[in-house]
Amino acid sequence: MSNQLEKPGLIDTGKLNSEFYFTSLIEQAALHGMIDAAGIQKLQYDALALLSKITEEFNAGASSSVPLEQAQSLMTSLLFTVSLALKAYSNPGGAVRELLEKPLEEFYRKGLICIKKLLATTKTVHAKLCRELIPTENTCYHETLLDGIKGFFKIYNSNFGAHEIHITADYPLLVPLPPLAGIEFIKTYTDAAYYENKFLSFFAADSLHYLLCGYTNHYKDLVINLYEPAFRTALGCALCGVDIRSLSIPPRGKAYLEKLFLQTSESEIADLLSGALQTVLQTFDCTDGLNQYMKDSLPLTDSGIKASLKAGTLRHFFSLPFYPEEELQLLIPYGRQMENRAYRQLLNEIHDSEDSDHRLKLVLKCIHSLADLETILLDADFMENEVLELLGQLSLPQIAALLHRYRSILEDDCYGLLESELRLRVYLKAFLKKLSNTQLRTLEKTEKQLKKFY
Amino acid sequence: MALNFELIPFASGLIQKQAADELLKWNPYTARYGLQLTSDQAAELVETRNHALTQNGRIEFGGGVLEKIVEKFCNSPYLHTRNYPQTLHQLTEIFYYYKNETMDLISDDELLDFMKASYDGVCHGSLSLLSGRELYYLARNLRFGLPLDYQGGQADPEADEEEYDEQPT
Repeated sequence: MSNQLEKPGLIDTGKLNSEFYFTSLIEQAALHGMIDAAGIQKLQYDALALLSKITEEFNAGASSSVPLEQAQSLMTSLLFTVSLALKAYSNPGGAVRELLEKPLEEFYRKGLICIKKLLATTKTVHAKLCRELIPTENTCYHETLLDGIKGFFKIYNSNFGAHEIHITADYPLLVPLPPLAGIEFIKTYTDAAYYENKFLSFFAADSLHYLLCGYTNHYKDLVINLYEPAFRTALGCALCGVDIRSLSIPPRGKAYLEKLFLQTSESEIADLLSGALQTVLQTFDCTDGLNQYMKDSLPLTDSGIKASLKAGTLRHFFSLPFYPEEELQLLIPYGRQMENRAYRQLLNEIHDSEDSDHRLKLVLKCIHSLADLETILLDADFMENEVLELLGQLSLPQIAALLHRYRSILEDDCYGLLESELRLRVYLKAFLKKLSNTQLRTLEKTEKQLKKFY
Repeated sequence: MALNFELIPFASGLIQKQAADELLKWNPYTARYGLQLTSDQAAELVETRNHALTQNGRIEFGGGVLEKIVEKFCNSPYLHTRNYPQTLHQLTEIFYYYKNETMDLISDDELLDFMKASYDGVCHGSLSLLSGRELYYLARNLRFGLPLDYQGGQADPEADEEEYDEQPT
C-alpha cells in the first residue's frame, strides 16, 4: 500500500459491493475510465495464472484438470481473497492503480494474511462470547452462537474456499449485516452477537427470562432475537424513570409510554429515544463497540415505534414481564372408567330408551368421571339437543377439559374420522357457536390453564 | 473486452494457444519413435481436448494431460505415423471421460499408467477394448470399492448397458 497521500478517488465507495468487491471495483474503475480493455485483460490473465497455481495446489499434483464447478469455486475464493487486500486501501482508485502495476498474486498473498488475522480475531471474540454467554433457555441462541460458529472454524478452508460461510447462522441479529462472505461475514456476525450478548449480560437471568416470557410464551423454541425486547424495555424504563436493571416496565409505565409517544410528533421520537439511550449508556459500563451497536439499533426502534403508531399497535410494542409460575393452573381429575360390564349395560339402557329426558337422567346418574363421559358421548348416539343439554350442565373447567380431549376431532380434517366422531364434531361446534365471545375467551383461557389430567 | 471474471468465457480461448505450443515441444522426443505432430495437428488435438473438457464439464490449465499422453504412448508398439494423431484424439477423449467416471479417485498418472499397460497389453492396441472393457471395469470397481482387477458380475446390468452405449471409442 502506498504511503503517499492519495487524491480523492473518482470511485464512489457506496457503489462497491462488499460481497463481490473485486468485480464491482473493476466495474466502477472501467466506468470512470481508470482501466481500459488491456488492463482488464491483464487482470484476467493474472487471475487465470493464479487459478492455475491454486488448482495445482488443490489437486496436490495428482490431477491436471478439475470439474468446472470446483474451478469456479476456486476462482470465487481467489477473488474474495484479493478483495480483502483491496479493501485495506482507503482510496479505491489507488487500489485499482496498484492492481494494474503489481502482480495479482501479491494481492492474493496479502489477502491470505488478512484472512489469517481475521480468523485469529474472530476466534478470540468467539472464545470471549462463549465464556460470557448468557444463560437462556432459547435453543437457537446457544446452538448458533456456540456450536454453529465453532463448526465454521472446524471446516473453514482459507486456501480453497475462503468465500464459504458453511453455517446457516440461524440466530437472527437485530441490526442487519451487510452482504458479506467467508470469514468477513463470520467476523461481523460474531462481533454483533458479542455486543448483543454483552448487553443482555447486564441484566439478571431471571429478569430477562420473565421479560421474554412476556414477549412470547414459547420463546425457548422460537428463532427470535433476544436483544430487541431487552433493548426496547431498557429504553422504555429509561423514559418512564424506572430502574433499567430491573428490565421491567410497570403497567402504569406502559400506559405512560403509550401516551407519551401518541403525543410526540414523529420527528421528535428520535430525540426522545436518543435521550433514553444516553441514560442507558450512563447506567451500564459499555465499551465503544457496544455503544456504537446500540446507536445502530436505535433507528430500528424508532421506525418500529412509528410503524406501531400507524398501525395502532403501540400497546404491544413494549413487553411486560410475565411470570408463568404465578399463573393459575387447574388440575382436572380425569377419573377412572367404570367396569366394562356396567358400561355396556348403561349403553344398552340408553339405546333402548326413546325418551330424551330418561337418557340424560341415566347419564347424569351413572357417569361420575370425565373418562366415562368422554366415551359415552361418542358411543351413545345422542341427538344434538341431548349433547347440548349435557354440556350445559357441566362446569366451565369440565367443558374446557372435555374440549381439550376432543381437540383433535374439532381441529383436524374430517378425513379419517369415524361416523360417531363426525357427529360429535358437529354438535360440539354447534355448542361453541352458541357461546358469547366472553365465554369463548374464558373457555380458551381455562383450557390453557389446564396443567394435566390425573 | 467483456468485464467478466466468470471462469468459462475467457479461460478456454487463452489456454488453447499456449497448450498447442507446449505440445509441439515434444516433437524432438517423439521423433526417435518416428512420430511427430504438425502445428495444425497440435492445434486440432488441443481443440479435441477442449471439446472433451467441455463435454465432461472439466477445466485444465497449460498443456496439461496432452503432453503426458504423448510422452506415455509414443513408445507403444501399436502406434505408427498414420494412426498417431487419430489415436491421440481418441485417447484424450477416453481419458477425460474416465477421469469423471472414476470420480477423481485416481491421479492422472495412475490412470495413464493403467491405460498404457492395458492398451499395450490385454487390448493389443484396441481402443474399443480399452474404453469399453478395461477402463469400464476400473471405473466401476473404484466406484463400488471393489478390487481394481475385479471383472466379475455387474451390479446393475441395465444401467451398465446404457453406460456402455455412451462411452467414447
